[in-house]
Amino acid sequence: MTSKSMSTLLKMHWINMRLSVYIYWAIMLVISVISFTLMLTVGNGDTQINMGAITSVSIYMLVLNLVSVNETFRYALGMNFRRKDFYGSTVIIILLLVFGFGTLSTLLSMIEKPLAEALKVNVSLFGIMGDAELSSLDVFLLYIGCGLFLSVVGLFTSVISYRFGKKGVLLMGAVALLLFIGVSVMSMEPIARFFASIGSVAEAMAWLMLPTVLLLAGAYPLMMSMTTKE
Amino acid sequence: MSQAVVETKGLTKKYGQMVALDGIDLRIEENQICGLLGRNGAGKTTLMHIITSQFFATSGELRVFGEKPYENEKALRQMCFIKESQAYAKSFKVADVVSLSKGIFPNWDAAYAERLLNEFELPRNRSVGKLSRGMLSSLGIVVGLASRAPLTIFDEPYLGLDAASRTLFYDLLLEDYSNHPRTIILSTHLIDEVSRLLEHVIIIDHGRIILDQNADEFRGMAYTATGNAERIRCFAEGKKVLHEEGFGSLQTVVLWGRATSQEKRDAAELGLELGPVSFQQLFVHMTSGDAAKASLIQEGAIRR
Repeated sequence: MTSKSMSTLLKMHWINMRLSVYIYWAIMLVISVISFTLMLTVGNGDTQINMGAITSVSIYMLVLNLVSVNETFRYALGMNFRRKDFYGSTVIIILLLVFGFGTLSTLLSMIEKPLAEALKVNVSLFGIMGDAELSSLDVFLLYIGCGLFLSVVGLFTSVISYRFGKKGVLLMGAVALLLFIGVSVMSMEPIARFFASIGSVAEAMAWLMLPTVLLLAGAYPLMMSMTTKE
Repeated sequence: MSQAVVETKGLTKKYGQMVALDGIDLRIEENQICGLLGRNGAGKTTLMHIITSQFFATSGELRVFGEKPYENEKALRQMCFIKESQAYAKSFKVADVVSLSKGIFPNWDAAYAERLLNEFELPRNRSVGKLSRGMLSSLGIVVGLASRAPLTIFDEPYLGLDAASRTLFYDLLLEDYSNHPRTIILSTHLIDEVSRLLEHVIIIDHGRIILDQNADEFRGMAYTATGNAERIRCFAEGKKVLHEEGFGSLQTVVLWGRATSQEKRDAAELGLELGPVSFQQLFVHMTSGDAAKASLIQEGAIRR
């Protein structure tokens, strides 16, 4: 892959998603300002606002990757980019975005804590609910882990949808559901034991990388056989 | 023989039982404007998609600039394929498409692209999703021409463009091609409009190449004779008539072959007017499935 191809593909991804990134952070900023203002004016000691930004970041990543492949792949293939370059650039943009969002959200969670204490309001927008025992590193790892996993789920689903259409997505959903039910019914105890044995956020996120990598690896051969759509 | 830009051997594409391309043997040489003509569903777009590695052939061989194009950076970077249904992300602005193209095509001419944007009056800050059909086509033309790709393929690039804009496109194409010769494949249904541009003609019908010929030779494959019906009948006797139509006592016939000097003299004596057959007329006779097509196959003028 030439560096020019890569930088052009990254630029393409960024142009495609920049508006949604701006909108996302504008919404977060507005919610933050409203939350603090509301708590300062009408809040009391018992009232608590916990936005759970990790959920919104992860869902944003999922939706973004669900729609972006369909938007950009046809253009990239039409402009004669190699499929493997498109795949590589997609993985890089996911990493950049997840790390960017994760870092920013963690920093904001670190800022909001002392700010909320100083203003004597109970607001946690970017922190993780009940995160008193979580370090900033744990918060960061949660953002990264969940963001990466859901981004890749979005990418994989998008590739399945592009390659096999709605039926493919339904089949994928059905297989995932059956797998989950099957495993739950047949071996609930070992699974519960497994989850109970996870002792730290870092370990949980490391385990989450296993399906992430599998889905990412599964998307590659599918993308290599994708053709343009009329 | 000059270098082959595109070379295929037995290229076949099947969709289940349906054969879209049926053993295509083709050689397109460098630095020419080649018309790829065919009726709807003949296989033109499929062929162009396979050449640019956007579709996969079921069987057969394909070389572009001497290499297999699939995932081949060297071959792919030398091609630009502009199609009627060109896909841009809706969030792209016109300026974004131009700016991305700069990074895609090694021979991209930014100054020329700016000139073309002005010529086609394209608003740089408008989102692609908000462009009219004609403006989208113009954007494709801007990218295709300014790419200066050694192999530029236009597949019905002017959907929604008015006659003035189409003429502008033809003029710009010809001007830029003379200054920067390259291989251009032009696929269109507006055959007569592009006939003056073409140097080579390939006709594809039901997934097969039925004609692959120099445009001048193609032009001389048939001629028309117009005049009094009775005299026309006399003149056409013994000649292969591809088509005839009349109005009152006036009749026009399309005759196969090139008119000899003797035939020209005979026509003059009979008061008949001889003229060239338009590209479109010839194309229609070759692909329409009427008696003329069968006759041309028998004649060996087109392939079965």
